[in-house]
Amino acid sequence: MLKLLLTGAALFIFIAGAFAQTENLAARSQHARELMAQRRFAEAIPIYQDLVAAVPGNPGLVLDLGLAEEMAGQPQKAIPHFQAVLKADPESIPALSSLAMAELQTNRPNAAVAPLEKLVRLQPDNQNARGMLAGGYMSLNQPLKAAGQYRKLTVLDASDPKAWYGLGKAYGALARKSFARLSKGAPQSPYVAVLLADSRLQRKQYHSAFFFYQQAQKQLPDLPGLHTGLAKVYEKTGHPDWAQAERKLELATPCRTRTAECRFRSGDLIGAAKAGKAPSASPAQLFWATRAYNQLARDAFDRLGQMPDSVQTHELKAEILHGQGKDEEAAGEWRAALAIAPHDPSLETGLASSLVLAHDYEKAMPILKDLLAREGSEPNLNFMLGESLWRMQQPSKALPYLTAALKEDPKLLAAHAALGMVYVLLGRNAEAIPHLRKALSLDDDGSIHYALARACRVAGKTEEAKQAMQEYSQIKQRNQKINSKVAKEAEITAPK
Amino acid sequence: MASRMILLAALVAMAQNGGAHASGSVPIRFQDVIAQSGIRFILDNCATPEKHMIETMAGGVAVFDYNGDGRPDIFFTNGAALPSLKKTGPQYWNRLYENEGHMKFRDVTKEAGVEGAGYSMGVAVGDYDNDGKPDLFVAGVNRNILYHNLGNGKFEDVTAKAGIKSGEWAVAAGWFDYNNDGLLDLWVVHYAKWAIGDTNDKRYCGDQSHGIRIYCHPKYFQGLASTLYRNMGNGTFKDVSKQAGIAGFPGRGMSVDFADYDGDGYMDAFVTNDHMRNFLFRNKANGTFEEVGLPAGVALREDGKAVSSMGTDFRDYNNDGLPDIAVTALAGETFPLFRNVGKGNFTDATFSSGMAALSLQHSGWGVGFFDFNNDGWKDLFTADSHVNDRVELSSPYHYKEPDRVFANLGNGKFRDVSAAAGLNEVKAHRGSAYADFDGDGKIDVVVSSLGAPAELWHNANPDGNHWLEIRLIGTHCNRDGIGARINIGKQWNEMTSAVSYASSSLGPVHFGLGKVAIVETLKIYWPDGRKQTLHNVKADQVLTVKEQK
Repeated sequence: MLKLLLTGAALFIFIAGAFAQTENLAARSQHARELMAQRRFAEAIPIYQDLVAAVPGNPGLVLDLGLAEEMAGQPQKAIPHFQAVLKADPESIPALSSLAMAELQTNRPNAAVAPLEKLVRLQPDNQNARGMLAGGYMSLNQPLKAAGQYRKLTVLDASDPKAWYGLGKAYGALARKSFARLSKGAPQSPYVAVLLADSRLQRKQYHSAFFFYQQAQKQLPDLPGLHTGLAKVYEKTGHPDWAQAERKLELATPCRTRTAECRFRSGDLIGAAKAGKAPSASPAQLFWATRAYNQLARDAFDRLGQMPDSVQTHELKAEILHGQGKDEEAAGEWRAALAIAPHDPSLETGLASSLVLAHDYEKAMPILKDLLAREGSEPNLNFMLGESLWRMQQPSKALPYLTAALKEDPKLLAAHAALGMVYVLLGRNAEAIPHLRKALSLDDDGSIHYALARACRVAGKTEEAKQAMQEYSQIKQRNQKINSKVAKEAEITAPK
Repeated sequence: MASRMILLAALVAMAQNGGAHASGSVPIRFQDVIAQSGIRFILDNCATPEKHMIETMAGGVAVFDYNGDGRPDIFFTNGAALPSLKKTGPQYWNRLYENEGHMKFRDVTKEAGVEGAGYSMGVAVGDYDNDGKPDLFVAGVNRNILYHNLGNGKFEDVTAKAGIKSGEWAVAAGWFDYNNDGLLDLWVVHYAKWAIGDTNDKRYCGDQSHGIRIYCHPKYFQGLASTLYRNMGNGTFKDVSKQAGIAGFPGRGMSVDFADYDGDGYMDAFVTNDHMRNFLFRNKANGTFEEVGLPAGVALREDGKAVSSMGTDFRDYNNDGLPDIAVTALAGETFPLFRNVGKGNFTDATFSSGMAALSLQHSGWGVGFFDFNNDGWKDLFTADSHVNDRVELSSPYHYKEPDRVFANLGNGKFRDVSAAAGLNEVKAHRGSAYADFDGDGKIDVVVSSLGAPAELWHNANPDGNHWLEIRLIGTHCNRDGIGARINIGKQWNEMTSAVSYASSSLGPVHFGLGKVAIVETLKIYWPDGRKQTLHNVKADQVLTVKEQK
């Protein structure tokens, strides 16, 4: 009886305890939810950890724990929790989405792609997931897949500037890929010359464009597009009569049927681009694929350009201006983007980069200092600030930033070059030498070799000084040849 | 007693330094007196929308006593009409102003016969026939002119009969005696191949779509070598560029200056080049030169970058007896300062002297190391402006700037004292020349500006420091003793007329003496190797010293 009573008492106590515990768990869960709503993610984590321990195998609680961790800036810790949820429920939308997000945050786009692909399959209209998937493909240098996703996004919402921007970038990347294959396989071909000319034309480098068109014309005078390119050069340089003659020649150029060229000329850009996919694609096919992708990219960007002002339109303009060497104007575009999305760190980084490239170090420095304070130490930011400081003749102040940049990314060669120069300015030649040596591969004008030669000379390394000075002279001679070529490019003459 | 000893020690140290004291306690002050001076010169570069490169590079100025009255006169080069390159009216004449004393000048251009021809750029003064009357060489675009000073207030154009060639774009020139034969030879600096209407002239640089045309980057211009003319002693010159070994060094030359940097008794030549390495031609004492800019460390900044080197001065600024080199350049590049450390080597002192930070935001053309406050340390004057008149559209820099003066603090460093000195005229400055125009012992400055009145900066420092100017008369060596080196205490200065951008200053050699009223020992090292020593020389005078036979 006593045993029964005791058992009954124990059962009562257990039930009462369990009931109390349940009540307690519910209250704690509610508290955690409140903390999450208040964006106090870090405080919610221990509560969810307790809840997960108290109720093992509850996927909802595990998901909540993962979300709290991810939102608290601990995506690495969150990943196994999302994976655990997906093990129990492979089609859990929030787990798939959160896992992908966490993987992207930890800079592992390759791991993010699989959950995103699944998510997009389950929710074909989920634009956010599709956008992330497209971005993931771009990060993995898979622009073809990215273009597919961006294309679908433009169908889902034709007014989405991000989609058009991404599509243009993806096509641009595809154009670069096919051009790289063409340049490797047929570097001296007229196809390469025309594409170079097209790119110079786009950058408004008319004399240079003319030079390359002429090079192509010598080999393949009827290459479609060549005369149009020449006509544009003539128009831009004040020779409308010559331009007209070139346009007539372009019209007279025959189209060979069922070729990539013909597809391109009939407006079937996708068809023309596909011809360049095959590993055995000919130079002509690669040429037309490159042109097709370039045109597709331009079409996407044109579409973007017609949209009302957005962050993306300004980003695009900044990129184009950078390509034209107009970094001061690019900075203006970043500023316009920041007016729409103030304090966006990636836009501020873009602005600072443009200012550094425009040698406007004075304006770049406060932005970089602020970014470092807000976003934490980052090698590129440290490098840009260090670079700006030494260019502003403040090498002592540049030193810690460049050192930090190299600590975080020892392969940042530009930071090695800058740090080497800083040590030279500070008269610490022996310390400059190893950094200058590491940066030699960046030396396109001989300056790093010269600085190394001077530093070695002061440090008593006579042989290395001599060798570096010889290499300096070789670089200069090489550049001189290129400059004479540039001089030859200058003259724009009448059509032949 | 102890304090008296310290004071005594300090005075001894000061005297040893030729009166130099590092404090710069006498401030540097200038006042532009051009409006009252009678000088009405405006440099007309004929600026056109086509942005012919020559337009932005005019502006040489010379200072010399053309009529032997002891007062330095002023000569300005001027532009010409474009595209004709002809001086189609008086607005394009080069101008000679006679110094009438008390900072008053009179235009004597026409009576002297120096209106000139063509688009003039630079000027160099030197007495090539040793007759005691300084002659004038005008460098220009396809048109050089050598004027012989006739001594009656007139000049004769002797270009053709002297064998001086034209046909290239000459920017600057300088006189020196490279072979120590007692005759001044002529070094002519060329910029690049260029002609009205040629490819480079027609090239549209800038942003055509917005109609923003700018002067083209130097990289588009194929540089030219300098020409060295040997003075044959009979009124004619011979082009010895090939034999001398300088013809193989094409550059985009902007200026030339001379000094015996390695102390071998022969003058060496430093040529600034626009956006490419500078040249240092070491005189091998056998009639030939060796280009040693790179190994000597003056071709480039220490970071290996070539700058847009404009003007230059080649003098000892740190009183160690070794001539140093100052160069002006464009904003963002700094004004390089190369300190001579002996044994043929220089170190880039731009940063350590403070000049890097002081000059980073500025663009300079004319430049000169002169002791403006007579404290025994040569200060640095720069005539500032950018080359590109649209620079504000694409960079944080300015086209028109005030001139600048950097006070030498005596410890290897400089301080920008421009604002306090009163240099407040914002213009497109180009050439500059230096002399004591009013005989008060303080160095004044004349500066040219594109499309604007010239400036005549009267040195308005309060009196307080002593000074000495030495006018040399060569007997064995050239008449003005160009190439001589003079030493007082720790101070050294060179007798040269080559200074600044495309400009020339032929005057007595100036020394600031601080509080020293009597110079115990003054040594002159004549270019032919003779040494002359003077003792107990009174300060505050222009001392004429004839070379002892």
